[in-house]
Amino acid sequence: MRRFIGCYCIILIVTAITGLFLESRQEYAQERILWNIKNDFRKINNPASIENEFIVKRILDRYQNFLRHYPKSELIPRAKLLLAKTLISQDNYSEARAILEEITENYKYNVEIVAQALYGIAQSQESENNWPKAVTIYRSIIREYPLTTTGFSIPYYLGNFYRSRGLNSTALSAFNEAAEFYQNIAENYPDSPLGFTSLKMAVKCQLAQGHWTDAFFGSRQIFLQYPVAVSLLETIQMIRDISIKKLNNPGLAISTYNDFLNRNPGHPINDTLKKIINNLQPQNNKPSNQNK
Amino acid sequence: MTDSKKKRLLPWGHFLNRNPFGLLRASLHTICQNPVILFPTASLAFIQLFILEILYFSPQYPLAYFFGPLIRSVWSEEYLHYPQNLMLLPKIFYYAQIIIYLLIGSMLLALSSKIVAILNEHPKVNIKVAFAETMRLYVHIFCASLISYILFQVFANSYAHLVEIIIKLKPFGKTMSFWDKTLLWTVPYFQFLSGILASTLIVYVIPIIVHEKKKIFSALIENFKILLHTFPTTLLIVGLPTLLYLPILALRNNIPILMDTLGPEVQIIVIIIGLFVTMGIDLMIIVSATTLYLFVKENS
Repeated sequence: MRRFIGCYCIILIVTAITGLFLESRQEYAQERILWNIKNDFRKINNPASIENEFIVKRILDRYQNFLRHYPKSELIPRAKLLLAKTLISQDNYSEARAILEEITENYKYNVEIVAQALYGIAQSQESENNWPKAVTIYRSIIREYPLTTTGFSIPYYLGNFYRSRGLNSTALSAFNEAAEFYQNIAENYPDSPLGFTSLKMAVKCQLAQGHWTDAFFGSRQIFLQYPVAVSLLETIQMIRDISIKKLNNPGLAISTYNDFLNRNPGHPINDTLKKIINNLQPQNNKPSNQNK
Repeated sequence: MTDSKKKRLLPWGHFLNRNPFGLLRASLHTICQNPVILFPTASLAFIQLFILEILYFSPQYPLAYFFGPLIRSVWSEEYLHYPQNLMLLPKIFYYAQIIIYLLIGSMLLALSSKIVAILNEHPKVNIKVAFAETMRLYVHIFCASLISYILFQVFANSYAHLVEIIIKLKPFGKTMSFWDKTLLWTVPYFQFLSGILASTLIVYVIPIIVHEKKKIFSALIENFKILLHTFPTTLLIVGLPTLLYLPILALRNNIPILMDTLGPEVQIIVIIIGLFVTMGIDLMIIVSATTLYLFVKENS
């Protein structure tokens, strides 16, 4: 028996050593190094404070070491991005921008990375209170990279950007622009995850503007067009909230739910929907609502 | 020499009153005195650890050629990268463990039971012969493990469904209350108790198949007959060792906190600790159940 157990141990150890040896020569090991540096940085409470200066300097050194050790790695642009973000947190904007501009020049084939680099530049301008420059860059990202994760999120970000600065009328027009942007994407990519997310973003923008009727019809479109979406319950809740609390018309929610039931017989959510309709019916039968 | 006068090699005297603590102590003694009983468990642990290594290295060359497209299509590309692959590892390993348990694990546990039965008669065990004899009963052993698995799933899922129904009964739009959250929190612990109950209900099936060479249905009937007289003792000999799994359950419930403080690799450590604890528990249960079964048989 001892012989067998010895064999088992040898097989396990040899497999582990071979696997770890192969791992050390692959991108996976580099992913782990980068993730660990990023995670160590995340754990620092206030990276800009003087007491954390030495710790942040070590983080920066680790990024530099990574760039030196793996010059041919596919993760180099990502490492540079993270290095630049760390520099921005240290208020070292010029050095960060130099790295980010180098990314936009040298890695044009990777649109997501370029969009993120441009976003980093805009963030650094924003941190230096250079709003016009930041907004110009944000708009260029929307124009040139609308379908990247970064480019897609910026129109909504811009609305919040103005609102957080108390520029309410500019914020409203930014949200309006953003809603149009997302609706255009939703029209160009119907019945796709991108189309679905675009509609959701459009509704978010309409809610931010207080355009309740538009938000209701947007939610209705999401609900009827994407019956298999994971966030179906969330949409049901939104339709219910907007029609009752904002439009004071439960009938709108009821008719939407009924349309769903007619279009999707046998859908697992139907029983829940029927219960919701029954709960809403007394509210809808109130005279004030019948007049509507 | 008649059966009743045979020299007993196992320490029967410790638990003549069907004392579960005495029985467990005697089983532990039996395992320590006869390390050969550990052989099937060690083999099972080896198989599981080997599979765990394969799954851990699956996103990397050369295994990525096979596993890459599979993980990409079932989950997504991000699970091939660090640290998301470590989030997926417990899930994939759990599926692998079910297959290993059904196809190999039950067979090796049956071999442990066979070894205990042989040790009761002879001081020496020929593993090859014991393995060959157990292998002949493979179909029935497989069926027994399948029934055990289905029973566990039925018990465990029925509670989870019940909790789901209770939570769904609330008016739509209301957030989860403290009681709802508490109910949800109890699900893994109830599943733990379901595991104990499911194991208890058919714990003698494998010893009966191995020892009496009965088919699955007659073994099931015989199992319930024995259980009728020994249920409290059996529940305790299954339940007490299984309690050792509670700390693992607590570790698994707090894995996000552990991962944040110790790193994503802690997943692997928890899996390995859980694996050894499970192996130990299964071994204790099968040895205790076989011992009690032999004792009941000899005294009936």
